[in-house]
Amino acid sequence: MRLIPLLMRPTILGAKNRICSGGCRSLKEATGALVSIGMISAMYLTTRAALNGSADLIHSGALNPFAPLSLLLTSLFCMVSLSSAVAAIGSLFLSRDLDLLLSSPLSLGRFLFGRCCDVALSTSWMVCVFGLPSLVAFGQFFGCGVSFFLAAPVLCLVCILVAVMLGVFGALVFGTLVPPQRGRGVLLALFMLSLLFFFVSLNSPAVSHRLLTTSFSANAALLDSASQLWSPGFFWASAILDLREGKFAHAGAILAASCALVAALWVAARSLASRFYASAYARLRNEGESLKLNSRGSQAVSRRVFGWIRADRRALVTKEYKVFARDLTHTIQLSMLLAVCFIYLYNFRALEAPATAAEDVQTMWHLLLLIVNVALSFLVIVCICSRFVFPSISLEGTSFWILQSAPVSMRNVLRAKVLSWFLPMSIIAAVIFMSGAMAIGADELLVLASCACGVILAYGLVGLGVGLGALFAHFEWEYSSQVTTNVGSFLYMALSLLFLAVNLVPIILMFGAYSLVPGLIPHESSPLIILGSGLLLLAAVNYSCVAASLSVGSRSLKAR
Amino acid sequence: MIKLENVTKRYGSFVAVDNVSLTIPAGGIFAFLGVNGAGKTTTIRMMTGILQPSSGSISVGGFDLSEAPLEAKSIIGYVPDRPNLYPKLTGREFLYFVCDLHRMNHRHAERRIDEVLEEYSLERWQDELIESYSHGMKQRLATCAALVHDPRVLIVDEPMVGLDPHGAKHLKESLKAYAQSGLTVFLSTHSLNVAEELADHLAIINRGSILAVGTLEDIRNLTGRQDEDLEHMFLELTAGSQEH
Repeated sequence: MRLIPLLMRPTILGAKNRICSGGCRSLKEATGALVSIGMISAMYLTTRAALNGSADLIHSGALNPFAPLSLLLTSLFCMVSLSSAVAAIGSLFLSRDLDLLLSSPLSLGRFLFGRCCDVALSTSWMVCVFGLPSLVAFGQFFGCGVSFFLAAPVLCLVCILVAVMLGVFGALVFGTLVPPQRGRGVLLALFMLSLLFFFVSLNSPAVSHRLLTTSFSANAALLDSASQLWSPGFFWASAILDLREGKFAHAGAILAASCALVAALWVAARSLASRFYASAYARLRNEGESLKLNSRGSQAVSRRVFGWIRADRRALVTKEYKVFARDLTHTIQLSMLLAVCFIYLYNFRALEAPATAAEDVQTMWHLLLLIVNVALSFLVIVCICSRFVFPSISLEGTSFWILQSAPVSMRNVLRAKVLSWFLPMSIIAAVIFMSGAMAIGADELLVLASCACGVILAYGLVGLGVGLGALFAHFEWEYSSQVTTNVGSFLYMALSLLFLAVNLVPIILMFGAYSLVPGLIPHESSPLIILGSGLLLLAAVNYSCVAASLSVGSRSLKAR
Repeated sequence: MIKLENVTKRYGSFVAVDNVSLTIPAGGIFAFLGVNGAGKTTTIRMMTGILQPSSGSISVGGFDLSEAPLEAKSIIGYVPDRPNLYPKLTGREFLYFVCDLHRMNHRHAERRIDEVLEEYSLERWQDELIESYSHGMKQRLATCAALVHDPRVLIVDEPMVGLDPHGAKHLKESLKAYAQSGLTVFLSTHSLNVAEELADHLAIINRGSILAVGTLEDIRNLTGRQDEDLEHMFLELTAGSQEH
C-alpha cells in the first residue's frame, strides 16, 4: 500500500472493495468484461486483417508501415492529451474532494503527483485497450522478436505519459492564466485559431499536394501527413520500427529523450502550481458568486422556443441545455469535438474518384465512399455521444433525487434526455453526413438520403447512449469528466460498433440498389422507392433499438 | 393521509426497515424520531418514491405508491436532509423547473415562486447560481421547492441541520402554520426538543422497527413515566442502540 500514491488509494481501495463484495459478479460487470475482451480481440484481428490485406503493398514498398504506425501513435497521443487536459481541469479545479484535500497537511508535490496518476489512469486505459492489440498485431505481422514485445509497450507507455503531462500542464496554464468569466470566450478563440492553423497547414503547398493527389494508392497521403517530423507520433513510430530491426541504441535514445520530456513537464507543472495554483483555484471557486442571471428572461425564452413540448419534458430539456452551457468542462470538450468534425470533413474531401477511371469503376468507387462516409461519420457522432449523451444521466449526480421524487416517470425522463440530445446531434449528424456525401460528388438524392441516414442514426445513437447511460448510471463522482471514462462508456462505444454493423446492412442494400438497380429496372420512380424503403427500414431498426434501450434503462433506474 | 403497511427494506442480508406499519392522519405534524442509522431516512425515501420497499405497501392521499406513483408524488413536497440541488441553475430557475415538473400554470407558478422566495427571504439571491449559496440557503431553497406546488403532504428530513437560529425559528413557525392550514407535515428528526415543541403525533424507530407510536401522552403511558420529558423516554426506549 505504501507504494501506491496517497491520492490514488481511495480509487484502488474502492475497486478492491467492489470486487471483494461481489460487485464484479453482477451481470453488468460481466457483460462489460466480455465486451472488453471482444473489443481487444476485434482490434487485434482487424489490424492483422488490414496488414495482411496490404501485404503486397507493404512488401513492394508502395506503403511504408511507418505511416500507419505513426498515424496510430499520433491519434493515441492526441486522444490522451485532449482527454487529460479535460480531466485535469476537473481534477485540479472542480473536483468535490478538493476542499478536503487542500485543507489537509498534504504537500503540493504529493497532491499534484496523485492528481497526475488519477488523470493518467482515467484517460489512458481505454487507449491501451484500443492501441496495444494493434501493436501486438503489428509485431506479429513483421515477425518481431521478444525484445520488440517488451520494449514497444514501454515506449507506448512513455508516449502516454508525455500526453498526460502535456494535458496536465495545459490545464494548469489555462486555470492560471484565464480568468474564469472569460473561460468560454478564450476557448472559442482557441478553437477558431486551431481551425485557422489546420487550414493554413493543410493548404501549404507540401501538404496539399499530397492531400489532393487523386490516384487511389496515393490516398495514403493522409497517412503521410501524420508521418512528418511535426507529427507527435513520428519519433515513437521510428523508435518502434528501429526495435523491429534490432537498432536498440536509437530507440533507447528516443526513450531517454521522452522520459526527460516527462520530467521537464513535471518540473514545469510543479513550479507553475507552486506559484499560481492556490490563487487560480480560489478564483475559479468564486466564479459563481459574481454571476447574476436573468432567470425570468430565460424561462420566457424556454416557453417560447419549446412551447410545443409538454411542460414537464420542457423543464427537463431546458435544464439540460442550461447546465450544459454553464459547465466549463463541457465547453472544452465541445470545442475539441467540433475540431474533430472539421478535420474529418477536411480530410474526407481528398478521397475523390479518379476522373479517368471507367464508369463502372467510378460507380463502385462512389458507392464504397458513400458507405465509408456513413461509417466514419457514424464514428465521429459516437465520439460526441460518448462524451455528452452517455454521461447525461450520471451527470444528474446527487441531484437525482429531484427527478426520483417528482411526478414524472423514469421513461419520460429518459425520453426528455433523448429529445434534448437528439436536436443538436441530428443537426451535427446531418451536416457531417451531407457534407461528406457532397465532398465525394454524390448526386442530390444521395446527398439527401445521406442526410436522412445521419438524422436516423443520430436518433439511434442518442437513444442507445441514454439507455446505456441509465443502465450504467454512476451518480457519485468527484468531477464530471470522470463519468466519460468508466466501463459503461467503453461498453457504449463497443456496442455502437455492433450497432453500426447492424445499420450498415440496410444502408448497403439501399445505396447498392440505388447505384446498381436503376440500370436493370428502368422505372422513373424506382430510385425514390429504393431510397424511401431503405430509410424506412433503417428508421424501424433504430426505433426498435431506442425503445429497447430506454426500456432497459428506465427499469434499471426504477430499481435503484 | 399516509399509510405504511408492513413495509420492509432489505439491502442484501441487512434489514434497514423491518415490517413498519404507520397511519398518519391528515393535518397536523407527525414527528419521526430515531438515533442515527435507525432507518428514518430509508423510510422517508420509500414514502417519497425514491426507493422501492422490498415488501409492504405505502399509500399517500389514497394513492398507492407502487400503483399510482405519479399521482402520489404530485401531492408530496419533500425536503431532504442534504439539499443537493442543481448547482448550475439559479434559485428562481430551479423553482421554475419544479413548477414545470408539476405542470403548473405559468401565471400561478410565477405567483407561487414570488411568495415562497419572499417567505424564505431568498428574493435577493434568486438570480444567482445555486453553487454560490450557503448550506442554509440551499436548505431554504429546497423547502421553497417542496412548497411551491402547494402539496397536501410535506415530508421533511432533518429540517434544522444547517439552519441558523433565525432560520430554525422561522421554519418551526412555518411548519406550525402549515399544519394549522391543513397540510400534513411528516417530520424526521433526532432533535427531541423540536419534536416535543411541534409534533401532535410521534413515532420512535430503532434498528428499523417502530418502538412507539402516538401522542406524547400515549408514549408517557407506554413507558410508565408520566412526569418525564421526551428526552428521557427516548433514551430509555432506545437504550443499547449505540452499542451496535
